This record gives sequence, structure tokens and C-alpha cells, in this order.
Amino acid sequence: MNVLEHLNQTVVYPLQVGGIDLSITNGVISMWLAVLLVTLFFLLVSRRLKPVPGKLQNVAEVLVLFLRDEVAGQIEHDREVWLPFLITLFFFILASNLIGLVPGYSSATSNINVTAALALIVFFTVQGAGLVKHGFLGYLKSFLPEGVPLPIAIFMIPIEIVSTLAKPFSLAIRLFANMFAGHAVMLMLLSLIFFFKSYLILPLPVLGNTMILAFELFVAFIQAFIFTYLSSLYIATAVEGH
Amino acid sequence: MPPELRPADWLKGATLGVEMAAAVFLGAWIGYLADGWWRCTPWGLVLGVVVGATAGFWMAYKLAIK
Repeated sequence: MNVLEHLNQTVVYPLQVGGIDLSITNGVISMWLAVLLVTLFFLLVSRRLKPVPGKLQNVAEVLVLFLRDEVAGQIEHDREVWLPFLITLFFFILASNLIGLVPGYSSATSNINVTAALALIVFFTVQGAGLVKHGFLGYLKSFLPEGVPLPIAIFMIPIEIVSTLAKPFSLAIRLFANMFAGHAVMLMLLSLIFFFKSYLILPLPVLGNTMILAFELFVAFIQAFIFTYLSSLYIATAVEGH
Repeated sequence: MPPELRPADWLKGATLGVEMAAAVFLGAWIGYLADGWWRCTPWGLVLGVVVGATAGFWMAYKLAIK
């Protein structure tokens, strides 16, 4: 029995467009749900803004202020321009991570394709920002450290290209691995019941899963924060060039 | 006097490990692909790992001197 089969994407509605497989899977539905939840949350919060915040407004304010000061705080100039992008990124990842904790639902971020797409969005945003800020020549010069002699420059260019590409690669892998690993451990513990077929083993999966579920709640927040924080760091490095 | 650290600045160092590993894997993957294209097994992979590892250490160096 392969318990990890439960983490595979199941096709809910098969769809082919121009020879490309665009099937609606449970991961796609989970993403739609995340978008819907975030939209509903902010619609509810922004509909009745009060000087003394209520419960929902308080939660939103704490998170948004934290993102503005701690995450986007690394970007010295035009912070307000980047803030909506970072807030969207954070809340989408957080909602996706949290949906995965509800029994019967799958987390979109435990699929490498989703995290890779998110990392690619960040990568192209960062490169585009660097290109707009420094111009084409200035952008190309960022691949070559200052004052490097020509013989060493030949070696430095591929090294700089790999280090630039490694950033979105690590972003995608980190988020995917953390979310996937949590679900995999929970499934492994649950599978002990079917493996041993005994009531005696029951406390281990029940207690273990309760503890891991609590830890996963923490991981859901921390991974959304890390992804957004690093995106902000890469934007700051591209825009300010240090 | 060391520069003032933001509460989340530790993350820059903490996440470096994954970035270094990612650089090595990425270099190895590009090298592996190059082996297939130019039929130069195993030199593409060897060069890819060397470039990837150097890129990883280069990222660590750049972070350290900031």
C-alpha cells in the first residue's frame, strides 16, 4: 500500500485545450478556494472599517502592518508600490497552506507546480524590476561584480547566472518540501493503523497527528512569511542594487 | 558597533542553506543536460556541480560582506 498516493492530484473535471491538459484537479479547486477566502476576508474587513478595529479588522491590520514594516521594510524606496504584490503573495500562500489542514482538502502549495509557478512570478517580477530600474546595460552589469579582471569575469558570469536562478529554485523547493513533508508524515502515522491492524497502536497516530497538526499550523504561517520575506529581499536587492 | 538587525534578518542566513543546495542541484542539472546535448559525459555534470557549488559559496560570501 502506497499511502503517498493520497497526495497525488485527482482529476475532478478533465479538460483539454489545444492539446494542452488543463484538467481541473483538487489542487486547482484548492487554489480557487484560497483566492475566494482571501477575497471574502478582505471584502468583509474593508466594508466596515472603524477607528477602533473589530476582531476581523484587528487580524487584518496586525498582518498587513507586520508585512509593511518587517517584510516590505527591506525595500527602502517605493515600498508602497511593492506592498500590494507582497500582501497578495502572503495571503494566497497562507490560505493555500491552511486549506490543506482541513480534512478532505488538499493544499495547493504541496504541489511543486504551484510553488514553481509562484517562484517564477517572483523571479520575473524581480528581474523586470531590476531591468526597469537600472536599464538594460545596468541590468547586465549586475551579473558581473565591480572591479573584476577579464579572465576572472569569464568564470564569474556563469556563477552569477546560476546563483540568480538558484533563488527561485530554492523558493519553490522550500515551500513545496515543507508543505508536502507535513502531509506525508501525517499520512504515514495514519497508515500505521492499517499496517498493524491493532487498537494498541492507536495512541501513536492520534497523538502524533494532533501534535503535527498543531505544528503544521505554525509551519503554514512561517512558510508564507519566509516566501514573502525572501521575495521582498530579492526585490530590494534588484531595485536598490546592493 | 555592529549594524542594527531587524527581527527577521536572521532569515537571510537561515535560508542560505537551501539556496546553496539549490545552486548545486541546479548546476548539476544544467551540466547533466549539457552532457546529453554535447555527448561529453561526465564533464558537463562535473563542471555543473563545480559551478553550482561555487555559486552557492559566492552567495554566502556576498551575504557575509553585506
